[in-house]
Amino acid sequence: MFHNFRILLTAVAIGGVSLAAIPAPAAAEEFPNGPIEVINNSKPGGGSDIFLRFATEQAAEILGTSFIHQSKTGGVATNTLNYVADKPANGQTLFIVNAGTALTMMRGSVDLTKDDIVPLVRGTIDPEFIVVKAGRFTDAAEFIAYAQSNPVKQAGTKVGGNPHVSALIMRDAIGMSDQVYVPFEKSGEIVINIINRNVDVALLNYDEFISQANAGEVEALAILTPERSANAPDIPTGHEVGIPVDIAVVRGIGVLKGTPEPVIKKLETALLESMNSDGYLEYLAGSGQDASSIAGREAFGAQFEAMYEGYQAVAKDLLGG
Amino acid sequence: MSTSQTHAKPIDRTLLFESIFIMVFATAMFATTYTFDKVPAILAQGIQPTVFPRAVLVVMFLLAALQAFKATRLTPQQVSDLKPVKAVPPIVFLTAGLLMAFAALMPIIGTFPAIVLFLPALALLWGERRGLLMSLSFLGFLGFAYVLFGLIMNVPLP
Amino acid sequence: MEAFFLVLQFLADPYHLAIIAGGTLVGLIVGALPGLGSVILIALMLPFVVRMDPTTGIALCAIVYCATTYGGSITAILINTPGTPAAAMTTFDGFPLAQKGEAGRALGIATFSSAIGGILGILVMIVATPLLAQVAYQFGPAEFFALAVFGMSMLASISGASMTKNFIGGAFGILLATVGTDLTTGVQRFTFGQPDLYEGVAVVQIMIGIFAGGELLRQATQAHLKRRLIAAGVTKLPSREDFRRIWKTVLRSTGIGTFIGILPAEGGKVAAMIAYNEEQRWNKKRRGQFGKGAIEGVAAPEAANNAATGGTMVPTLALGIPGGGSTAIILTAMLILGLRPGPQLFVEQPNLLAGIFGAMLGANICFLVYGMVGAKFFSRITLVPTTILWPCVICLACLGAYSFQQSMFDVGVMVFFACLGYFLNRHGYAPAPIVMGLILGELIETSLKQSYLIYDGNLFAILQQPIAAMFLLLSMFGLCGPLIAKAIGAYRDRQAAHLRGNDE
Repeated sequence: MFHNFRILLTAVAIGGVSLAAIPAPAAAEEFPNGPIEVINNSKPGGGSDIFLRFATEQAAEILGTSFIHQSKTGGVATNTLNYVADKPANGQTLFIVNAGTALTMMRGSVDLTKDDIVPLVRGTIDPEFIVVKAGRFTDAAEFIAYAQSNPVKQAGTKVGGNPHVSALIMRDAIGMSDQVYVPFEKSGEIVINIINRNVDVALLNYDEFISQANAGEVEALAILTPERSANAPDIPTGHEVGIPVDIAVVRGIGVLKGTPEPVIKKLETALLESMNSDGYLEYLAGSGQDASSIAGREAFGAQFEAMYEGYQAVAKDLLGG
Repeated sequence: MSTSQTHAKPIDRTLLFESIFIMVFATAMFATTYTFDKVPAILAQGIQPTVFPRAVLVVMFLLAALQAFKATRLTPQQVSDLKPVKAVPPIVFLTAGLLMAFAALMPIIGTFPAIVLFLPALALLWGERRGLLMSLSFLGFLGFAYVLFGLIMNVPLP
Repeated sequence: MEAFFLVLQFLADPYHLAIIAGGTLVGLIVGALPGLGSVILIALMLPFVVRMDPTTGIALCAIVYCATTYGGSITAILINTPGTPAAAMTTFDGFPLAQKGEAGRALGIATFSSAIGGILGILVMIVATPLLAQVAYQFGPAEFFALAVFGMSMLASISGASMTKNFIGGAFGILLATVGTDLTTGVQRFTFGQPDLYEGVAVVQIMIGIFAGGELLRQATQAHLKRRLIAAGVTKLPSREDFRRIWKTVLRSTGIGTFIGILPAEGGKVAAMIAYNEEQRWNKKRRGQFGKGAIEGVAAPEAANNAATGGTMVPTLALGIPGGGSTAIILTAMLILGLRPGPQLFVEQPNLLAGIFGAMLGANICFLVYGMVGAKFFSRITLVPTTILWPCVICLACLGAYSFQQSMFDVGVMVFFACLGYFLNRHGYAPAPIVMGLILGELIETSLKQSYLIYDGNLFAILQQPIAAMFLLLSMFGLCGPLIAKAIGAYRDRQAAHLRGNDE
């Protein structure tokens, strides 16, 4: 109610200049017209929610409006995308674009397809590390040899979701003889079960295992990126050790296709500026990333496309297709 | 429920009815487990998704059956303890109806207009007639809720 | 000793004291509101927290976390609606006390137990964090399975209309917990094609529905009755005798709370539940009074869930492994502020730890003051006429249910469970077993399935894990004890009746 009231106030303020502006399509000057909604598919306090809060924080000031964050959980990103699909393409509604978004669209459980959205900006690209109990394998080569001839229990989250897809990509890259996927709710449980040897291996992000790596309980055998990370220069890349795949948690913000070009431009500029602020860069540093994680429409669009195709190959198994 | 003295075997009808209801519920849910999606081959590792709910439902059914059995075999002590059960007072249904109407109205006319309608309606239904007291306290509550959810927490209410 | 000195140093700063006073007040209010809790509040604060200096920022999160846990008890006692899931057990004895016109007493007991539980939990944490953290490593799926079964075994000993009804209620709770996507196969269960159900039914909504909604409908039948509560009695705080009566309960429950808090992934709600059940089992003197307004029934869960807040910080700080939703966000904040939790944190950042411990101690002392002073005012809420209070309460419940994930579906769930809760209660299916099933059901199923995968389908391997075997053995005693006792009792009754029969 109050939120309509605020929209009304803004509308009156803007409408004071030109009263006839109501039915006309929103041009860039009139954008934003009231608070901008940001829809995510994680619970309040979840990874995507926190990413969006940090990413949009400065943009509120730059655009002179406020951001309202809403969680529409359920069916990976089904409820998020269904909610977004009903909204007009005017830039007033933004949404999370991540692997879950791609997977949900692939499943066809929503009306939106990848051609209906514009991946606007990328905010994080958090590489995955292959993590095992410290001292169990001397190096990645030994692990690969072990996995090719022994059954491997791999821990992860969300069966049938994107983490599982990542595990399958890893399985195929290594040529594992038998992979048993043991699902857990949280990454903390995964680390503990690696330490007490209930499971053999897991794909984890830097901030999920680094405390225990420093304590000498677990170690990372490889980082699944094209180049070594500045945070952990001693850890070889997957390409160096014979697991030539790149897996990372990619998160970005999208907008509906059909949004006027000037509005998209304005949003992209504002969000990029917002994410290049100190606050956001500190957020990135928390998970061992830097400004290179941030990217605009062109780079992110291409990456989303590639991600979509990469998943399609493995996901066939998962979707029962 | 009355315990008619003419009956040879007194039965706790309420308990029996309850137990039968639970058994029907458990059976219906058990049947529902057959409508679950088929597990894709690659995911069919470990315990199947239907096993655990079915086990719980079987336990539930057996407990209800035990309870139904007990309802028909009462000890003399329990028979004398049997009290006639009063029907659910209509005000419960009216209150529940009002609550549902409130939930239905929230997205249609907005949260705060719905509250403005609901608060006095329920109070009147419950027999409150002090107009001044109602308007003052409800206005106070409305202000409190607006400040808290609207301004401080910034929740996008419908 | 040096640690204590640093803590005092932190608390001597007026700026820190102001943060403690303010943060505690906000946390207390948000915690008291049904549906809103520490997770949402800390998530909202996060962008501001990371601007502060690291010690103050993390301290503020810790303060809010302590205060919300306590705040949940206020609404649990006054209007039978747990402000946070961890306060669900507090309603069972707190609300009957308030109904009897002893709201002040109940609030006083809750405040006192919360503060003592919280403070002791933190003291344990200061002394033994690195040591205690080792416990966390020992808990895998097999151990969690055994712990959850142990929790459920208490269905046999908690009071209620009948043991059979308790077990049926428990089964219903477990069934509710299976709704949604199956963890190990990703299959949708009992979702009936509703995307809103894919993630399961939110525990918060069910609790608000069963407790607040069920009570609303029960109150409807009594709205015409004139309640005569005397203001002087309502606002009366607990007597010295009361405190003497509960100190053992508080100590026991603090121990349980701290232990469960330390286990990763378990938080205050499981701690409160096990503490409440254990209190029922061990406190022979008050047997039969639980659920009707026993002050021990308020003291046990409150001491335990506040002690658990201290406990959950142990693995978060010492291992970098969060023990619950709130600590997961605190961990995120720490990483953003450039702090790396882990064993080395204790060596490298003594000031930060002193700040966190100091802030949590401060928050507990602070809400002890607020609570004791506030009890006099809060308790007056029970003097508000039913016809005014309950319409407001249920509006608050709807707003809370909506705010949790901004979903009308959740409000619908709440209303549905309100109606269901009324009928269940009417027929003697108490909320306690249902809530237990709901909270533990998921843990039981998940850990069982994980164990099955880990031990290659051999579930007997669970029994070979010493900790798991111990808990399962305890469950056997828990389950069979009351049954045997009952059988013996029934046999004696029959003998007695037989003897009486001979006399006639």
